[in-house]
Amino acid sequence: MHNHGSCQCGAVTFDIEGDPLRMAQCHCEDCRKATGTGHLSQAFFNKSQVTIHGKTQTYENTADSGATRLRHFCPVCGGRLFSENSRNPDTIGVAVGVLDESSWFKPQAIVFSSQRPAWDVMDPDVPAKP
Amino acid sequence: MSANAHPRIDIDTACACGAVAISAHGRVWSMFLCSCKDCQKATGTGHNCVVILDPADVGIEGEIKAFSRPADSGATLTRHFCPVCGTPIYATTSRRADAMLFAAGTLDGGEWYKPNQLIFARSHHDWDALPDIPQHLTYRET
Repeated sequence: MHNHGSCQCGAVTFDIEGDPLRMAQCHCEDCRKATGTGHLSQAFFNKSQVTIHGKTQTYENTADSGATRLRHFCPVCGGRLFSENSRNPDTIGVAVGVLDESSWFKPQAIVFSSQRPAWDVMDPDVPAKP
Repeated sequence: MSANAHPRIDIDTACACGAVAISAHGRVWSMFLCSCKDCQKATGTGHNCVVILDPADVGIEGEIKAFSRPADSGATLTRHFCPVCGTPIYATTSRRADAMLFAAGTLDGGEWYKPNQLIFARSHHDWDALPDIPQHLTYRET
């Protein structure tokens, strides 16, 4: 599988070769702030699968899990793009909404569901972890 | 005005890094979900969770960055974000110059957030779950 995506303004584009390692949706406070929504949907790939063209801006903080998290966005348009986590240093998360084609996305887990806002409806068939 | 459709909010919050402080004290004008391509790109998700507020009820402190482009509707949409952490702060649209569009996640949206429609359903993805609310392919016909 080949995937291509870009931010709104096109200053950052990326290509992905191959299938995701895993797919998940997260309701932690950081993901809600980073997106302005109730959760972030991500597909995770080995970094060697993803080629990023253009310069991203990054913001690093400590995640609710205790890990160090590095979030990438476009410095020109602010579009949400990628995330890295110190617990999985070989892996990069891609925000599914910026992909040209995402019909293949099938989350295997919903995490931090204890922080899910009541208004954020999720697929009941996806296993949710507190 | 119905309290459910136009709840009063009293919010003092900030972006993820704290560089931008946001206060919102007043009644919400409207709440809806949007799955236009632009909102998907800006949020990285399947749909945006919009809260429209009166600028007179809003305070923003700290440096923000703006990006303008034509939206699917043809209107010019300007999105403002924190240049340090990328948190979306608010947007303005040329369709309605007197309104500020916030995102529920930025405002720590609680029980008061009750979106009443999905707009731009034409680009909605099957993997993105939705509440049981009316859907409109683009804007609601008026």
